[in-house]
Amino acid sequence: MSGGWVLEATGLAKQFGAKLAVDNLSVKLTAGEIVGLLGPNGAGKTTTLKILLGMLRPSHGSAFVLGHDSTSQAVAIKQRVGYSPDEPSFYDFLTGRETLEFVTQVRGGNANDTFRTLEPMIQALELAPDLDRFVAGYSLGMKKKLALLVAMAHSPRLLLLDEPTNGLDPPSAVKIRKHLQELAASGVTVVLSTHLLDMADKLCTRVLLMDHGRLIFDGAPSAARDAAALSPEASLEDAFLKLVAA
Amino acid sequence: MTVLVLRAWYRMGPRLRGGRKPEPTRGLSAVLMRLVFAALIYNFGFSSGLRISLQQDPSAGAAWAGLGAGGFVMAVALALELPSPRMPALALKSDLLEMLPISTASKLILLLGQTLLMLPVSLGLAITLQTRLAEDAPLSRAVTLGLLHFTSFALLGACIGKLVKRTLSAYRASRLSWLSAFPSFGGMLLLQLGGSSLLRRPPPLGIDLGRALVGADLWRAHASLAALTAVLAIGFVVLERGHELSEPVPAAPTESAFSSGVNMRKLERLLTRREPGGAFQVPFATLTLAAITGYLCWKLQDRLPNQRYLWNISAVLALQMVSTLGIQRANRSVARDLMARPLLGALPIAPSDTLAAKAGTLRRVLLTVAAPLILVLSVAGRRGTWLPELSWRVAVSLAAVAVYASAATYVAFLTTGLGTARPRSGVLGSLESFLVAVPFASVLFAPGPISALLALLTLAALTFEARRAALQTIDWLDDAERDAETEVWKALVVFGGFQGAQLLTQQLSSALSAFLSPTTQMLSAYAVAAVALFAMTARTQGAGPPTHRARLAPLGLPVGALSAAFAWWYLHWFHPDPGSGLQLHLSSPAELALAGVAIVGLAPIVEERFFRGWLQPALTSSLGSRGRWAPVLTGLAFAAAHPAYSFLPVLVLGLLNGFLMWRFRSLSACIVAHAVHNAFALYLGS
Repeated sequence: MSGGWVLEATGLAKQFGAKLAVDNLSVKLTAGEIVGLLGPNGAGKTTTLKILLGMLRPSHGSAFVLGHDSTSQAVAIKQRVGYSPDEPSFYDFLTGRETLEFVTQVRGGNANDTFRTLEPMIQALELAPDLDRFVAGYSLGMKKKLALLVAMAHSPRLLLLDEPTNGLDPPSAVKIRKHLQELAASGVTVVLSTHLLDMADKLCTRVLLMDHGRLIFDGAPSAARDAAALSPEASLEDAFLKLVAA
Repeated sequence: MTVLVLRAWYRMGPRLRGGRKPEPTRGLSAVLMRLVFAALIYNFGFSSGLRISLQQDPSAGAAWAGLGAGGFVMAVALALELPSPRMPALALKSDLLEMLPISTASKLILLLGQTLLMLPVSLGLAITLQTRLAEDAPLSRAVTLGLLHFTSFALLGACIGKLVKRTLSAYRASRLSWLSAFPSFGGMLLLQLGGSSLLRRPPPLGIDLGRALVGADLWRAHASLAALTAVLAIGFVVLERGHELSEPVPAAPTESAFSSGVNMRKLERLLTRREPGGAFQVPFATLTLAAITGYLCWKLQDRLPNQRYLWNISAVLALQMVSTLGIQRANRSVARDLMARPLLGALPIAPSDTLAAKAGTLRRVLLTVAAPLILVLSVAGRRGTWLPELSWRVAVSLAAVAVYASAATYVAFLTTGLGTARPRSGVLGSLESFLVAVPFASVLFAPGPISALLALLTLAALTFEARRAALQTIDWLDDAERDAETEVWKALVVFGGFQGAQLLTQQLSSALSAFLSPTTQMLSAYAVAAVALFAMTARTQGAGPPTHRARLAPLGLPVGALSAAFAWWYLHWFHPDPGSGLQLHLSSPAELALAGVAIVGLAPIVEERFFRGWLQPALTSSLGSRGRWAPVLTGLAFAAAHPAYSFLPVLVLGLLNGFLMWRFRSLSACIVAHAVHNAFALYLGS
């Protein structure tokens, strides 16, 4: 690991044609942090997550994830990091259980160990009765739950979650939040992009606010209120709106 | 045609230079493309009608051909009704349309509008037969008949599709979507057979249709067709009112299929089997091909003059079955990954692994389907002299099927799968699929074992390059940004365009067979395609225009003379058989002049610019330290692109020109050498 950082990005930039999706992003994350990646639509949050996972090549800059270069060592990163996409999609004609077995096998793991690890989450999310159904019959929320299980199946030390609670029912969202806090307490670093500022406020130890590809704020949620010159009672949403408008 | 070619060339340019792929064809080129297709489809009816009109009792042939033309129309209507899983939906058959309050009459008009492209086959057959066999009949009568024929079969297809959905549910119906290919293949076969003298008795249900088409017993025949159309229209209205049964997803197996481990190939096989229609398509296709091939072998073995007839009929069926199933399966397989991209992108799966699994699975499927070709050997038991030819044909064809499975997978990956940033709606009809289909068909219908082997090697080389191009477009399964294939593949795709333009023009010009001799048709087709190739080469060449170095042009004279001398020696000593379809018969000064322009003027410029000016430098840079082999590979590709009987002389010319280009970098010298060689060949031919 480079300098003890779980994740270290320096001057990351990503250009799509004329559009600069990520602009000179530099950030360092340590173990056990829960980092919220916030920003309006099109701010570059998903692109950033994909670059960190080695799914996209940065136009400039570099990122080291768990000590591996995201451009040249994408395999190593994909084997170690857990990722849950914003819009999950699977093979329609595999069951949820088979999907988890397939994912485990591809990452070189053991299916029995995976199910042992995931059992509490499967029970908490009430997905057990549906694990032996074809994914083609899953609702959006069920797919989202399966995507979270896929991300956590190999007990990764870094989780990159894109809108993890979108489409989930409130009880499941609360359980996910608690589980993420437990994971962070055990040293897992969580990076999640979200539009749910209330959840970010309760869950995240640090927020990164992006706008038009640029990082406009990096610090604790309370510091965001200070930066926006708001009282400590003000919501993170107010701070967010003020910082983006500025 | 020329406008269409130039338009296509203009649109292809940015894509082949590595830029963004164009949007689907639209505007002027879309209209032109449809007109060309309409002309081609009209030609099916026209040429069949022409042959039927020469028969002694044309009504039997007309009835069979009428059913065949109807099959064409029916296939489109059926395909519109039966949903095809995971393929891009037709704009006019979307869920949105189902949600809108559209009247049944409007839906009927929409159906006819969407199948309209098939109207020319009905018109072509009806007009040709009526104008030739009932000369006093007005044209309007033939047009009315064509319209009635088209409408009734379109309605029949739609009614069958609706009935299937009402009876089985939309999900189960989607398993049958593949069957819509059968009426069109059967239709093609019946149009051909109707024009031959093999079917002497009319089909039981088509007597009135046959009589109507040849203009006999007019009122009765027209009345029965009109009554049939009315009944089907009522059926359409009744079926349209009901609701489709819904059955969203079938029950999953009780036990995980991966409990004993998983690998990419196992995954691929499992998903192929579980998807709608996956479990029965292969047995069905195999048994169908076995039944038809077996029946033909049993029925025709004593009536056919030689083994080529038997082989050609069997090979046409196998080709259609294998290519349809191959393209459909390959498309579905890559579309499946496209859907699951969010999952796959985050996993450490190398594209080479997934491609190998897909190609391996498809190879197994297609070899199973093509296996009934072996049945033709049963005839050899009674006719021992047929055994050697049929044996090598079966062996080499099965080898071609195995290679084609890989090629279809890579092409699907490049055109509809993860290998492209903008997936197109289907691989069928793309230049890439055409590029691999031509050598595949050449293997099956090769005049001799050497040409079959050459075509097989060409197919293998194309498959190799397609794989390289597919792997270059993508590093990982979510790497959607790259859209640049290898330079060699781009050049080959352009060459596929050249072959397509040549075949298309030849097919179109055959409609003018009353005015143009076969030689003129062949030369005109080559000239049009050569202009297209020149334009595409000039526009899309990656490394800039090649060096001409015109002052070195005289170097081509001795090289051309040397190559021509070898050609003369080869033809003199070996007397290769050019085959009936490839020989030029120059019977008039005009034909000689046209041949001179096409063979001595156009061909050297266009072909040298492509092979020595583009393909050779592309291969040189692709081969790296082994770049010195590029002239040899280019020479082989150059020879393989020519008819098999002239392979060796053309190879010698290719190697000599490859050396000229490699040593002196003078395209002008290559063009001169090629022109001298061709002038000599034309002299010998005339």
